[in-house]
Amino acid sequence: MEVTAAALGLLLTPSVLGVMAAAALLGLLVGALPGLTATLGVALLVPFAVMLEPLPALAGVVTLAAMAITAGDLPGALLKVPGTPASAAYAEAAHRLAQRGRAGLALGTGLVCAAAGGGTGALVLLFGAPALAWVALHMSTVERFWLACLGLGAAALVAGPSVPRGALALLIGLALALVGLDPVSGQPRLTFGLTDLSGGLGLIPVMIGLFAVSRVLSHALDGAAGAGRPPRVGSVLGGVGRVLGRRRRAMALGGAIGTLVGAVPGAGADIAAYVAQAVTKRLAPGCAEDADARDLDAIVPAATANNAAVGGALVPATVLGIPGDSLTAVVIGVLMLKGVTPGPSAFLLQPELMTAVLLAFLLANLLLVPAGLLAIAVVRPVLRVPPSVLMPCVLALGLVGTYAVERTPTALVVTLGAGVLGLLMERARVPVAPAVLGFVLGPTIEEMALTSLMKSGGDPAVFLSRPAALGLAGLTLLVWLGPALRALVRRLR
Amino acid sequence: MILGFGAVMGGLVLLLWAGRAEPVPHLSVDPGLFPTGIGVAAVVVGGILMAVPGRTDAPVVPGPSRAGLIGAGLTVGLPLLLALTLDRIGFALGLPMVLAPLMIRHGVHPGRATLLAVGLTAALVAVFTGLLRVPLPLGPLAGGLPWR
Repeated sequence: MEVTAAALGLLLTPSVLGVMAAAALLGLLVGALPGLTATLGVALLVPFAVMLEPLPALAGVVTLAAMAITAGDLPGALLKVPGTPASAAYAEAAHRLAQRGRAGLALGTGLVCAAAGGGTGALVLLFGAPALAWVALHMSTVERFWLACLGLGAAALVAGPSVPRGALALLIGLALALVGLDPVSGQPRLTFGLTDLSGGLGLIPVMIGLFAVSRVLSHALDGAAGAGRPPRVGSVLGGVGRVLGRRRRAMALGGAIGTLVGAVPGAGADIAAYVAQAVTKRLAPGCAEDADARDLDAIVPAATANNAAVGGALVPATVLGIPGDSLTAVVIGVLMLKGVTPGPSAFLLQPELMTAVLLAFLLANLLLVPAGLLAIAVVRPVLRVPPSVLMPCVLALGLVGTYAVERTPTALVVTLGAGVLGLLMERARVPVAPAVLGFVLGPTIEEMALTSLMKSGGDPAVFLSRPAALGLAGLTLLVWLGPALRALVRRLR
Repeated sequence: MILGFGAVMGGLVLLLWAGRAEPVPHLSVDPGLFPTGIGVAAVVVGGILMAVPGRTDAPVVPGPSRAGLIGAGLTVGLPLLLALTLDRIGFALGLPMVLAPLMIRHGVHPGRATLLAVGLTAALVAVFTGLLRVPLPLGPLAGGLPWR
């Protein structure tokens, strides 16, 4: 209690709060610009963090991360272009709501879910970090393989009415993820002799191509006929209470899954969002009485999970000094820059500072709602821009954002190629979202499966050799085969 | 039918390519294992798509017009040209040359389109290189920015 009071005294000072406010604005900007990720935003803050005292620097970093992931919802709902990969899981659902004149409800729901998820992650970080770190560290490659397979189950949610078309989209994403170095032999695979492709196609170019460039191309093909009416924002927080009240279980599951998946090294906020969608679909099916309800069912668990994952990822980072994802790798770098060696000793040697950082993360998540409302008010005028101007602007943002992340012109070519692929998929009524899902999870599944097999000398029984793996395998089968089994039982009756 | 055929062909190409992957000595796992799995799944899904008739209630999308095809060609071609010449001309000069023709093509007045393209490029370059400190190739205009 004394430590918490001292930490609050350190945190609630004008200099720390001022840095947090500035980091919040930068986070909103980074998240709202398609292509720029929370990791990039945190990396951009590092040169400034060097000049600051330890607490303002670390508080700024955690604030920026929380804001950037939330702000990624804005272009997702308004333009169908997710601002960060963490928002990709529900960008289409949010945009569909926006097109039905309910952009405010989509954004407000996402905002409150993000605050709740982030708050859950922060509280777990404050009180349960050591226990969660133990669970996360005892997950072997086998459990991580099943976790990624569980995430693939979200394809059923985002696939649309045709299962074969959804499966084809998933395979397209998995095939795109093959490009790069072979994880077994280390040889270039499908790179066509281009060294720029040896690191893979890159999530940002593929995501911007599939979501943004394909949309610009579609508009160019259809002209004014395909433009449609611009979406209205409407009331932002009106009705959110009722929506979330009916989805309490989905929200709680999203927070728990997000925190747990975030704590697993190698998994990030984007994977957490897909896993939460998949599990919630089966364990808390929701209230899919109409299109709006179905889309809200997709948004609530994923928007809660992606922000909760940030708190989860901070668990191994702060307690054990092991980064949960690329974002926390940068956070660890900032901690070390400021003379704090992450690990159990940090909580013993500098308890006030570490507690203050965790409280700053909690405060940042509480500030999400007012900051998000401000951001929504700022982007409202975007909706009044005619498509003839807006579409080239989206293309420009996508191209510059892609280059900013990848720093190679090849990435622009990949973006354009993915855009053409996205257009062809749209015209063939093949959904785009499962392809992104396959692309995100493909490398994890392949790496974890091959590593597990190599460790066992090629014996496939390794995938069911541990109790936790058995449990996750059962859950995965339930998610994948649940609908078929239910239909079979109904037919037998 | 065409979609299913494409999926089967894509799967077969992937299977052929995976079959050529050379095994790594001392490793129990074949490098072609994962691509083979995707190839087999693509052939199966493609077969299902060929066998199961498409929905008859699906909305019929009319074929693109000639003007639409030219617009789409410009939307891909101009950024592609920018990507290929980016190191020489940079974003500051190249991006307006992509944006202005696309806006004009969509019916924006040429003068307004040029102003908007130049203004948007300036704003993006200022935000990325000035505020966010992300270096962008600026071609001949490099060194002319106040914050450099």
